[in-house]
Amino acid sequence: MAAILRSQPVSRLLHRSSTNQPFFSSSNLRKPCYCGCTKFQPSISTLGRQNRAITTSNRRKQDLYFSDTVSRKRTYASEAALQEVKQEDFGWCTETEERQAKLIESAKARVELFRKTIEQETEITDVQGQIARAKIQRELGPLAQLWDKYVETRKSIIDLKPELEDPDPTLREMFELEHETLCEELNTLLSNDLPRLLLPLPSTARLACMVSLNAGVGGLESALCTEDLSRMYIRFAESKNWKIEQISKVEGTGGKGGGGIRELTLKFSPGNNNNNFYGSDELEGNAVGDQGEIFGLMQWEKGVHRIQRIPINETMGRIHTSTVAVVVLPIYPDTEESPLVDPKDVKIDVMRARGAGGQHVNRTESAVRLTHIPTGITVSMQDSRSQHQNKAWAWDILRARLSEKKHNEEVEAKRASRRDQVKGADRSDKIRTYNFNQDRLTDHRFGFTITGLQNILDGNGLDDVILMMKNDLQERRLEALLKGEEDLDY
Amino acid sequence: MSIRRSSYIPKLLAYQKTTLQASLVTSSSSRRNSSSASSSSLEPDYIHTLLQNEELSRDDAINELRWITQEVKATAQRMIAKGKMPAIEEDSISEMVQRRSRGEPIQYILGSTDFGPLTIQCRRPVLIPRPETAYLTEKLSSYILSLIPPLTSRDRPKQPLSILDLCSGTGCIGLLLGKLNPLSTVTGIDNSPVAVQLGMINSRDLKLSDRVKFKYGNLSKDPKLLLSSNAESKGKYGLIISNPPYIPFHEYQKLPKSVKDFESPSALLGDGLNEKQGKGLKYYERISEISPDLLIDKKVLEMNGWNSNIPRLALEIGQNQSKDVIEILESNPMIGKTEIWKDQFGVERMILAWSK
Repeated sequence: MAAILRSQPVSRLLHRSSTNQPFFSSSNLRKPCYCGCTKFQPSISTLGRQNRAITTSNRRKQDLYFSDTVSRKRTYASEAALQEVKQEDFGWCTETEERQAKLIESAKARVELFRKTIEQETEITDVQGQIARAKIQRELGPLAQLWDKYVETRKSIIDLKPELEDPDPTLREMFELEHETLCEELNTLLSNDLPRLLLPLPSTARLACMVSLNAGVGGLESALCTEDLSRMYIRFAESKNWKIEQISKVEGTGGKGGGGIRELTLKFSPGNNNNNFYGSDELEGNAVGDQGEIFGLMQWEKGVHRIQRIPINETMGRIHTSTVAVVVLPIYPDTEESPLVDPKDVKIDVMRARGAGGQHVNRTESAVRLTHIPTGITVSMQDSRSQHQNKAWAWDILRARLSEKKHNEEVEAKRASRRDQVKGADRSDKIRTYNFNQDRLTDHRFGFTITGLQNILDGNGLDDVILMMKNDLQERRLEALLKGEEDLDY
Repeated sequence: MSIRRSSYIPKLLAYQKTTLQASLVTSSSSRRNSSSASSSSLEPDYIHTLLQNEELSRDDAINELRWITQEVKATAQRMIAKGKMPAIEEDSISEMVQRRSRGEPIQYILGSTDFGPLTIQCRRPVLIPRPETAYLTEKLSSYILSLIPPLTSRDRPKQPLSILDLCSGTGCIGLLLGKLNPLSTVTGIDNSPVAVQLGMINSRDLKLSDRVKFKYGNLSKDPKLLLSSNAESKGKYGLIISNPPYIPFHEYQKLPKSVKDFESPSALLGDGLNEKQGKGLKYYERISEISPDLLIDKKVLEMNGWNSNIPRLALEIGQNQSKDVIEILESNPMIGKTEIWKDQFGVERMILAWSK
């Protein structure tokens, strides 16, 4: 819209009838804080649960995305401090800017760090310091450029402001249009470019992953629930165009009502036609703005899922509670720079011995067992008829297990370097409850409840659930950045 | 297809349809009934049928049923991708299960088998490749490759190693050698037209047809007819490899049904179809006899840049035949050293021989 308006000749603009509605008013537009204060609220987990009931439906919820709802509800000490500073000079330029205050503050802190390192250029002489400086420059350079652009745009908006009071209506309209264009530019900057640079995807987010579902307590009903959940994940993955491989599957026992699944392992890896990373429709077409994330989305699923419903094989109409354990493992690429596993450390056992062998018998045995000697991890695989396929899958699983180990080590190392205890999500066992009778899903990690269970189990609503987690993560990452801490990824 | 359809996804598709109806009524229990009933009613039945085949244990039956199901679904997917209507999956599965229960090898039913890293197509009655053969072929190939200087070196062979695969059957040995060693050309010879044709098909589908060729030939005829069409070295070969028929008649009678009733007896009986006595060694004697006419002189081979440690004969043998075969080979004036290689189960399975 901005571009169109800009390309119009001024004469045409002058003839347009003016409505004289101001496009903004400095700080009057700010809504009162959700809880009625402008003071510090430490984290999303402290937000009242009663305020967080959300319904999911097939229709895409635009208001669920990061830069809107959640941010608007929350005010931080830092933001309050920033407001004091900003209000001294002209207040907020746009509504979006106000909403993104926290982001701006974090960006400012990072840019200051960047400036400082640039200044120190001559002082640092040792190699280690130089390497560290180069790293900071490489990482923060684009952010600093963006910041300059932001400051410049903001300055022109502020410079333009007195002109909006111009007595000549035609001139005033011109200035207003100009002002509108600039504001839009600022908004795009703040809602698209800045979050991307400031909060880049964690390094693990795009990794392929291995998802393993295991029926927990609850017998047959639990196997049925496992089948339902696996269906949810498969449909979710299909909607994301991921490549789905079923690596192993153990059917339920059968009996009254049907079999279900006792155990299922799936591998999700990037699909062939999933090349719209950073595409232009990233934020419009797809509210999550996946950017090709796989593990980044699925990591929120790991833990124990609790399902409460009246099972179909229940004759008395009682509600049963059963659990399904979901394990999600990232698969790190086994590159030469950072090898996950040395083939020499792995013992491969194939098949059992047989009698005369050779032409005398004709048997297909394709089972493979890998043993990783340093860790003692063993993987057996016999799902496919093809032994090399089994071997490939067994290697995949082994890599995934080792990846998980590596991932946990990385996360632990990060956590240890943090000053305060973060409420880590991976510690809790029970992560979610699906209550069929109340048609609700409650996530225990962040305490939110969402209704429309069938839509979630169909895989469509899962996006919204994961989005909630991601938003919370973004918030926590911002907080961490503000405090000058290491970036988080869970 | 990028998405590997797992065995239960089609079930989910059916499920999905019922969900659409059920979501209007929001009764989840009726939906569950319909989807789960279909999963349990048929499969135990198939297992039972498969178990009529005495060669199968219960675990085998479960595995093979899964493979059959996977194959049928994959075939259906391929046909749909080509725009054709596949047969009803249930029918195909039940037909295959019936065939398997009567003892037919699963490799014939599904049409292919693994051979090391290759997938080899199988057809009745051509001998199905065995995993022992694959293991030893890979081992032999890596041994040969270890003798070749690096490809960047000046000493690397001037000409590819010409290999003769006698009694090639599906062509698996020659194809694997050709696949693993780019510095080789292979000629496969069989006296069954079906086998020669199958070898050509496999070679074409594995994209090896420029280096691995198959032709009809009979061991008992003039060995000159077995020479390759290469003008170099008068069409002679650097290495002969063979998995000839080696089962004596008295052992043949005791073979399991899947081998005896379905695989060609001429690919199994080591003394020919009519000879009831003997130890199954006729083919080894003949190969040893004609080998001087087929193998390049050692000096010529060395001039071509091939190390003198390249084995000249590699013959797969049956259980307890090693001594007899070595005796046969040692009576050949051309042969110097011999060696016995064991298969992955520790059974003596291959004799290698070097020229003097």
